Amino acid sequence: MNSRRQLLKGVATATVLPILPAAPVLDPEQSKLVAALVDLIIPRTDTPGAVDAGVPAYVNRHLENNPAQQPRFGAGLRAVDEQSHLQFKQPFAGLRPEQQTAILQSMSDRKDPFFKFIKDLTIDGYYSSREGLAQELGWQGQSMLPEFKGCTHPEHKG
Amino acid sequence: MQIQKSAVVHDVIIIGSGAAGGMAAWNLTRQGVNVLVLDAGSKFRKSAFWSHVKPWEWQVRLDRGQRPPQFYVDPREQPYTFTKDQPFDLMRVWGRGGKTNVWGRVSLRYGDVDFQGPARDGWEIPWPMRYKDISPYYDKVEQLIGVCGGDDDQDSLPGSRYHLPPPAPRCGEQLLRKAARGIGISLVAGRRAVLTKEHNGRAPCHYCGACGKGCDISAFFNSSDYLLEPALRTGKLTVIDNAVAARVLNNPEGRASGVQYFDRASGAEHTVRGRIVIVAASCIDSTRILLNSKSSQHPNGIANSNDVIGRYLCEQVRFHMYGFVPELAGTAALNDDGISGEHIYMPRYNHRDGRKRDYLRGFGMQFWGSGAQSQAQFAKSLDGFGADFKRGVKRRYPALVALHPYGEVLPRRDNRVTVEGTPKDRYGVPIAKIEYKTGENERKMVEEMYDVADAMLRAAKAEILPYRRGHVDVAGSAIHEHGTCRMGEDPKRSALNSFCQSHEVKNLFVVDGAAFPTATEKNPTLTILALAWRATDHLAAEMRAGRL
Repeated sequence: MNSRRQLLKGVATATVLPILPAAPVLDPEQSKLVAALVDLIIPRTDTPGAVDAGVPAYVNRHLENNPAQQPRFGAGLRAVDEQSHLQFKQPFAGLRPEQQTAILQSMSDRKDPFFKFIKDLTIDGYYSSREGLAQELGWQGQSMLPEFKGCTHPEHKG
Repeated sequence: MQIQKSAVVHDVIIIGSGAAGGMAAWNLTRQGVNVLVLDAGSKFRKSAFWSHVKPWEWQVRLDRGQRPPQFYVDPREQPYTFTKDQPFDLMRVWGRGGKTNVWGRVSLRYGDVDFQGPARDGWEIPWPMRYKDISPYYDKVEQLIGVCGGDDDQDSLPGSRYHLPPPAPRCGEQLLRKAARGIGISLVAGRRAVLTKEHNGRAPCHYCGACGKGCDISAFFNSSDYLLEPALRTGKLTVIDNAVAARVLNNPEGRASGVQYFDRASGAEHTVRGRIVIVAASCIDSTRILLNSKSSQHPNGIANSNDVIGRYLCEQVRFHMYGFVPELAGTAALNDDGISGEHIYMPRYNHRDGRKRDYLRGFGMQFWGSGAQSQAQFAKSLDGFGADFKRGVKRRYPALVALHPYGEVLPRRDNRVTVEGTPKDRYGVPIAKIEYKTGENERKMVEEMYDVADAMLRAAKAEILPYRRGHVDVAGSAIHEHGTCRMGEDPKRSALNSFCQSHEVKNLFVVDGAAFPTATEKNPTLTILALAWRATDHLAAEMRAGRL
């Protein structure tokens, strides 16, 4: 969970990032796989999903800014495809949705660290996007209000 | 490199411009004293704040090469060290106003429970003052800066007649308050230095909730706008920006005579002369400066012949617990920003009603981050993925309540800041080494803190987010460092008298959190402001009387 300190740190870190050229860290195959994974984690429903919200680009940028995490991430993606070949003789991106879900479910069940890593990145990217934060969750903050009414429900008082 | 020495002798040199230094500068200049402030940074431009930038606009701006203000000092620029197994997170803001540009704004009066606690339980020294000595200054500070709060009044949180109206509680806070009452715990209105109505000609808060990014209309107290700017208008204040203080200089009699500093940009060394030196660089940096101020008269650092300075470092233990209250699950999210941070507070109560405890001192609780936030970090602690997961996040999002107990850490002689044999910074000055660990007393207190937080969430019938019992934040996280230049009655056991004046070097004052003998469970800035006001009233009177 985010503490005030982590929030402060996030701000502090974001401010010292070097401006990097938009050279993608992920190759086209890896990008397809990332898109498939994040869309399984937060799919489009009656509201936009992770791909609609630009999470693959968010992931790519995160890796650009954190090069030390790239090898582990690459290995994680390879492991997903290996599992896919083992179980279904195909790369993950080409599987049917229920096959993809089966693989992800087993990763989730065994608390796979790479699954946790990409899920957390998806949460960060999606719920900081306009689609995820404003449209899906209904956040209306950072507005200028003449008055703060707080809780107006009599039943919440006691 | 040539040292640039100024021939001017200032009445008073103040190192630092945060709550402590800003108050000292304001209170002295309005009494006609000529003051020089050394600030390690420069002014933060309000027009460049990112207070109203939506989360999804951040990356767009960064891509354009824009940057928000760099409030926090990068440890790579100004390092500090700690013992390997005891990390310490030190947050510093160099620049006009220091940490008050982005502070948490919680403004709680300390009471005699705090000042005289050590006299009751025998652990280390009490404060050399009582509530009656400081309460007139709390009154004055609150009237000056504007603090909102309720009309409650208790021994561990004395009341005030000067509070601005408290903001309305959020739904989750109402429900927590009700639940806490059910188990005998009283939650009161939060107290924050936020203007909930126009105050002294300043515009009130517009509830954008982005206080942590700096307030572009100064609707909460910051030392630069509230203290330094009025002081500059007296014509009595000079500020030197980017002046990184290294040492307090002394004359052959051992009295403070000036300050050595380095220009943050060029690295050039300067000295300035003054009749009185006030150190207000925040706890750790002030201590580093004092310990580095070695001379033949002060081989152990200025005013430190009793080896008290640098010792008794104390902060707070805290952790975070989260839950989702059933009444709000699945409801439409409201704008819960308010004045940012919680609108309620749990004052310390563990010392009352004959309650038994197997540890000393106490804890309070804050609740920031309750309600709809600008992120959904809690989702990382939920299992699963897919459409069900997404629905689960949305259902819980408006129902989030956040509990943050803060407990006092005892002052201990071996928790300390030293500069002996440490690496040197870019100016060739030894950096601070922080040795700090908590002990059995804190471990036992944290047990009860977990019990109370858990009981409160259960009483609210909340779904409790999984947590690791016993875990506490890394040391330094509360950003409330104290104790390393403490005040006290006994000159053998303390460095300062109750006016923040050195026992040993009469024209040397230390007015920041380093002067606190104990950390208490509360947030210190209001007390720093009150003590600095009181100290500089005393200083000005001594000057007028010709004693300083």
